[in-house]
Amino acid sequence: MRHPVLGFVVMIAAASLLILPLSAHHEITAKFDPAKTTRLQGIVTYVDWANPHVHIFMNVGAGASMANWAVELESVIDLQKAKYTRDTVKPGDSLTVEGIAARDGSRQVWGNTVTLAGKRIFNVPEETVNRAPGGPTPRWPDGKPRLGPAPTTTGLAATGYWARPSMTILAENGTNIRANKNGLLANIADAPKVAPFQPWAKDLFELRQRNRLADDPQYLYCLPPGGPRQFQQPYGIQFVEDNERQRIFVLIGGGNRNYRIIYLDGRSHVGQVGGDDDNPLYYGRAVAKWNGQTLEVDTRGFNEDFWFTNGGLPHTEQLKLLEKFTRTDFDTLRYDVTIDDPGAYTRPWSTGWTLRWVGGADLPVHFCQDNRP
Amino acid sequence: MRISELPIQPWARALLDYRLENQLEPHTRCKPSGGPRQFLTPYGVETAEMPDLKQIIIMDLGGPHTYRVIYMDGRPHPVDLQPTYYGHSTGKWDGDTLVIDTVGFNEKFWIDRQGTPHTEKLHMTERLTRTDYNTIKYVVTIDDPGAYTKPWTSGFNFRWTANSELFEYVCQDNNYAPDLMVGAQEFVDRTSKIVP
Amino acid sequence: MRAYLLGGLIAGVLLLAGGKAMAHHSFAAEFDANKPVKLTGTVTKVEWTNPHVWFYINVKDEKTGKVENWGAEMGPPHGLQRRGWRRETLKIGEQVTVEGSKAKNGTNRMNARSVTMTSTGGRPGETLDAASSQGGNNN
Repeated sequence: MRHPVLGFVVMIAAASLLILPLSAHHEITAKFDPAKTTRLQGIVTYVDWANPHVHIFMNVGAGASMANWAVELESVIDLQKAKYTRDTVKPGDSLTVEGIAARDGSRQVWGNTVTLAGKRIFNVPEETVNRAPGGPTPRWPDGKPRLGPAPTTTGLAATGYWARPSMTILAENGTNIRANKNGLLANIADAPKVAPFQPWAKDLFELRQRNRLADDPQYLYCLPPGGPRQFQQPYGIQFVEDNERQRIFVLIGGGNRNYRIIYLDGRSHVGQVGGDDDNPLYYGRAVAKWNGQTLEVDTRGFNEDFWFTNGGLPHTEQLKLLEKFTRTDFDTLRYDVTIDDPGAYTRPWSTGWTLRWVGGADLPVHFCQDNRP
Repeated sequence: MRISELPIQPWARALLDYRLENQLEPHTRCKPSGGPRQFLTPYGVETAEMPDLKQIIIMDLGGPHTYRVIYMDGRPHPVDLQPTYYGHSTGKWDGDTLVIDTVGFNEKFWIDRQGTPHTEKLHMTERLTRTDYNTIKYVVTIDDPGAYTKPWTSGFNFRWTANSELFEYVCQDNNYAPDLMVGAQEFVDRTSKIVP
Repeated sequence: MRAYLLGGLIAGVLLLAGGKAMAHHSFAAEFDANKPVKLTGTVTKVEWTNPHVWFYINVKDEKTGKVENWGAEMGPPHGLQRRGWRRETLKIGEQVTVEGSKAKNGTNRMNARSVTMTSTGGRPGETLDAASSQGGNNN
């Protein structure tokens, strides 16, 4: 902070105008090399308009040297939000692409700038959100906070969901670790500070980070964002509170668009009626109770086949999570979690962040397996 | 409905014959499947009726283990609808029958297990009536001028299974189907290097 | 009572009423019912997963002495549990006999209809139904 006054002014501005970096769905630098800047001109052959990333295929060059390249762009959801559609380019169109090439030498580029007939297209600006002051926490008739959407006065269906996490990696309270949207550390030297790792877990975490999160099972195999990870995702989550059946559905916006259940009937963690009590799960088994204004959720019974956070912190089947949800006002959900996993950590540890309400819309429709064979 | 009775266009009939022969349905490759296919799994569905939110949410147990939202507030379908696997559904009550109207399907899935074709023009109407505690009568009308010469109707029953609850099912957990499925379906490209 | 049309207050799930529609077509896309196979071998690996549980056995050709590894597909964990299986039922190193149908793509894989534990396994001497997708039990 070389200019304290300027710094102060910048902070004031940030408080009222929230700028959200682009949400990439995998760590771009895992697949593409920022040092391999590439400029291509080609004729579009095919448009694969699918999540998690759109691909435009084009023929570059002519004659014997012609080759088909894939230009990777943002997701269908982000491109459509910026008003582009699958008809924005068509086979036969001539494009100029400036981007960075794939690390493995395949004919793929991440398209930073795409130009059609002299005009830039597929430009997804960073999201700007005006943080209007939140109204009061909406409540059920019995006074409990509503975690999900509240009935409207307009007669329209109640919509809205939680997204825009204020932290996108799992790091212990007080460590102030900087990481990008995918949980990639800004500084790899911070790795040991992130959590009270056991030595093997710290080594594995560092390895995953050094590989730029390329081994992430969510992006390689479409495996689910179990655990705290679902609360750090760009497409958010929604709660559907089925009070009569004493359960809450958590609808997940990204990944495979799964749902999971939190039970509020005081059952023990033995699995569902007629279900699979023998099987460690991606989402674990969750049982919750209200403690004043806070929903406390106890989840255990996880398998080890996924990453339970952005950034690849390890966990074992011994993992137990205690998550606390408090809707402090209409637009703000406070999320706190205690990680208790003696298989990977030397002691329980805690962290937390806030999620912001996105009103007027339901969860974006995203299926990880959309562009798979 | 018998295949011979389907008012199907010739190109769609050829596609159906091909699919009957090859059975390379997208559902087995973990793709979400709209239309009646959602209800044609052995594990069934669960429902969350949220009347004060004016939505009904239907959860698949098997397949993609995902949810489908039906808006019950009388809203029209959006004009700039981008096609998706489940389309955009609006519903209303007609006496004791829930009538669901859906448009906006993409073509990346099959609407049933045998591969009855559809196009993005599909306008589907579903009627659900709980005739007794244990039975829901399901009637679906397929109105798709892209594949059929006129709308047609079919249906089946749902059975209520008491004393069972949703369990976790993740299709991608360990699915060998993409390796094992054999057939002449050239456009299933297993050599693609495009990994998100 | 309209609010409970689809669901209900008692735990339950909506299933398709039984019938021919339940035939599991992708069995035919992956396995050949006209190529039956029966193998005896020792278990090398168990994948207790969805959508299908898989286990692998080393099969020794008695004449040549050559050992080949085979994979066998069963039903999902949920279906198997109803038929008496637990996650630990098959143990690495135990001997089993598997009956079923060969994979269409010619690899050393099969779909299992039944599994008999012949040695010191979880259920010695027993034959368990493998909840096969052939004939349409599951997805």
